[in-house]
Amino acid sequence: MKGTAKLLLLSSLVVLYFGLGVVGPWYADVPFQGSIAALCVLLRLQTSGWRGLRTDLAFLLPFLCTLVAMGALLDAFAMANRTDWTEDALCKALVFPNSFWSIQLAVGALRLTDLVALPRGVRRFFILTHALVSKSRPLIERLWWLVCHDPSLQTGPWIIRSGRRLTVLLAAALIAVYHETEATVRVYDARMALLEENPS
Amino acid sequence: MNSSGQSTHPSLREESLQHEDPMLLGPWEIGVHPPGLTYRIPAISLPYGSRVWLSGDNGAGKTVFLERVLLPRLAAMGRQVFLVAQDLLLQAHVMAAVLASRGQRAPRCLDDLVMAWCAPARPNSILLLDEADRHLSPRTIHQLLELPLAFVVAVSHQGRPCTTTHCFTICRHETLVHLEIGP
Repeated sequence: MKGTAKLLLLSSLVVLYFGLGVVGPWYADVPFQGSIAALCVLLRLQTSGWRGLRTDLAFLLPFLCTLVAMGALLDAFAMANRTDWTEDALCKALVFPNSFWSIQLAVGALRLTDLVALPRGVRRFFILTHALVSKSRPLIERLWWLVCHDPSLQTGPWIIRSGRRLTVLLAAALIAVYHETEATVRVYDARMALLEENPS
Repeated sequence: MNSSGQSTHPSLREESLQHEDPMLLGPWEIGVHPPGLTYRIPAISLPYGSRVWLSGDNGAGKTVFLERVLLPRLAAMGRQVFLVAQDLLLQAHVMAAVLASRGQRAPRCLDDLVMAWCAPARPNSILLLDEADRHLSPRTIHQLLELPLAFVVAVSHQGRPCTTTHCFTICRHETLVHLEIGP
């Protein structure tokens, strides 16, 4: 399968998962989320092998551990009179990798040749989104390395240091992705204008 | 670990470093994976205030040496290391966010941004410049080399900056990388 049909199928599957498992009734359904996680792991193994899966886990685990630790901390202080912080954090720790993998697998399965057959307006949006999603991960990994080695973010207790690093990463990533989007749009529009002038 | 066998916090170790201590490097044999290079670094003692020019062919492994060999070892010695990375245009976003987290306004000019980011450097801090002259003006490079820091290591393809006191060359033979002193 390729072209528009492939795009529609992949988009529908991602929307279906988000509709049911992220904002829908099966958000806290552990067997459903577990099955999706197992399926994503298998597909990830098939597409990128152990190395790809290890890289994904190295990217996801620090965030997931922090999430669960925050849940336990909020539970310990009975924040907002709630006692389900840990449970909610554990749900999020399943839902987040599933959302991440579902988008990553869908984007990874799409080729630019699948997108060129789309109508002009939609094509521009999908090609730009595809390019940005592909660039974002290495960009964020590099930003995280730079943040972790920034001498101004090396001091203080672990929790404060990690919080400052995450804040700086978020701000830097927003600016970087914004700049990257502008650059990608400029290159795409210039290339399309050139192709329209010289169609051969 | 200190003499009583307890681990020492990096900031305490840094305070224990005398400002004018020489920098001792090597001898090290370090494998870096990826990209699968082995670095052989001889024992080197650099006097306080040294300005080192690091040269080498494209692809010899200068950036990997700075980021994966030198920086982690200097940090483990308790040194505060400021790295101006080769992808400075990307790092500029981190620098701007760091300045904002300090409550400072980030300058729009890249040269001013780098100078403001380096401002908290102390006399025992170390500055690593990885081809910063591709993005910064010669005046800013000169100002960075003149900062009152313990050591500065600068990678440059534009020729040896006049204020450098030492010159090292990275030489690569297949997967083995040597650090040579000179020319």
